[in-house]
Amino acid sequence: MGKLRTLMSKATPYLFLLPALIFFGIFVLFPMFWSFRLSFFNWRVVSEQFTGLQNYANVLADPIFYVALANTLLYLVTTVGGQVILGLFFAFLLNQRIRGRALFRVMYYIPVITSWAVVAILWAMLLDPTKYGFLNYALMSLGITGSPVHWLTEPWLARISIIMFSIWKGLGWTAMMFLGALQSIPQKVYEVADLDNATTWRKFQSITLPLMSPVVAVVTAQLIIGAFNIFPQVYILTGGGPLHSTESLTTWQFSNAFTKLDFGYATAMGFLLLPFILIMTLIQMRLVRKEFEY
Amino acid sequence: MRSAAVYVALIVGALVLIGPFLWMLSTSFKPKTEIFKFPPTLWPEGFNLKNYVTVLTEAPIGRYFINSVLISAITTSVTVFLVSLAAYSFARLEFKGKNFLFVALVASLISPGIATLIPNFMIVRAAGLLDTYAGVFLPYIGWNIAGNLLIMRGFFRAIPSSIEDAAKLDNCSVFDIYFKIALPLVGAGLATLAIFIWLSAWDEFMWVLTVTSGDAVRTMPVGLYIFQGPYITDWNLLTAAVTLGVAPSIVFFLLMQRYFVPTAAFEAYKG
Repeated sequence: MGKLRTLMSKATPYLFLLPALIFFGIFVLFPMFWSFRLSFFNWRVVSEQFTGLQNYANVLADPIFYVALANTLLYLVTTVGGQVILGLFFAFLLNQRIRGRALFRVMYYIPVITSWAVVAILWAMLLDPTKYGFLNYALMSLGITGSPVHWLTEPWLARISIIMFSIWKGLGWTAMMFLGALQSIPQKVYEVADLDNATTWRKFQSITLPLMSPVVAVVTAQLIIGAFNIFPQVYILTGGGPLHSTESLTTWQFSNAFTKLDFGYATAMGFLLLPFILIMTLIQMRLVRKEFEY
Repeated sequence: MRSAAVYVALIVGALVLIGPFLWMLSTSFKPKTEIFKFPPTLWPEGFNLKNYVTVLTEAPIGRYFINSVLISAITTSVTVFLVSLAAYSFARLEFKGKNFLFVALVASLISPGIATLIPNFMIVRAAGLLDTYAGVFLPYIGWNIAGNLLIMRGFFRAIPSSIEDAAKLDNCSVFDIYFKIALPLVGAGLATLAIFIWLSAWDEFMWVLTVTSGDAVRTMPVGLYIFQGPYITDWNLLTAAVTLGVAPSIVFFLLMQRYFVPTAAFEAYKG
């Protein structure tokens, strides 16, 4: 009996882990290795053939890959920049002595918690490029424009629409993250500065900014990683069109995988980007470690 | 003067952020004759629930809604349980290979985007699970393990171990200590986790698009995406459908606000 007991107590930690690790192994770990393997194969529904680096060469020779890459970088810079700057702006406003802060917080957070795809459909209704889009309907009823604006069908307007939508969806999150950081700065620090007759700008420069910058850096890194995977907003609003002009890396990867069923190409594209994501994640982890070490 | 400017800016911001939802909600209660009125009425003159009845009975929106609720509920309950078990083991028990497993979990958060979706698809297809609930939610459970496990581990480590030590002296089994003592102390952690997982399951679009081909198991995001096309001029019906797609998340948020701590994935790396 005693032996069984010690055996049981040694096995217990693993028994606790087992169910979670089974799911993790099947749907995360195995797919990661398998997709890496796929990227060296010409995969067809009925057969597969090892082709070395051919898929990687195909990706690099594909003009639409570069369109998607350029768009993704454009989306990345504008949406991350927009969310960080506007997030800081609204966080500062919310940190003033104001009434109804709780209500504002709720309102600002609502776009964040709703489903990406569902609110993208709502935006598709607002921005529909025919006269039945609500925005066009409003503009035409007001006599601002005589004919419908091609929000989602003219390449630049479509890109701008995607960017605006992404900032709208994520702004509440950055604002709340920054507000949390602002509120954690002890009021005493400012009071001491007041004794020295520090100006508002001086206080911002030497107290707020240095204490906020780690959080800003971490949030930025997180947004960059997210921006690499921009999908539902492009897929639903424009489908990557017109003529691939709004395509992002993820939508292009998706259509190669599940429309053209070229699994090798799609996985190779993912692994070409992995170094960027890896670097961003490592930077982020370092920043976090620093932030919590003090 | 200065505070007036603050309020104006905050109100403009709030209007931009929730304006689309106000238009959606208002339009969803209007008869078709009222939707093109300009300027639009905020409070519908012909207020009625007909649009909701129509989309729920004449279109498969009711089906999509039930599918979304079922899939999110199963994913959330199973994942929270499995993750809390594993996180407890990481936080409190000693075993060989702990550091290695920890590194593997963190490393898995760096993923080559949707490249891993392809093997997931192959697995689900090989298992004959395309177009089934299991085909949708089983991978969700797997994808939600790593990040949440690291967060939950933090919650367990934050409770004092003295209570558990006392129980150990009383010869309680490890499972009893986990279930009867530790678990009730991390209620807030479980709620936070449940919210994350519920929202991510409700939100998932790409995966459902990939593994479903009929209405039987389609969830709200994909269902609405397919539904919208022919209804683009029926603002009243489409907004009613979209309202049903966002309402559960918003209600959930309003009810459980205190557990909605805005966090980033990075919280998980805190060692």
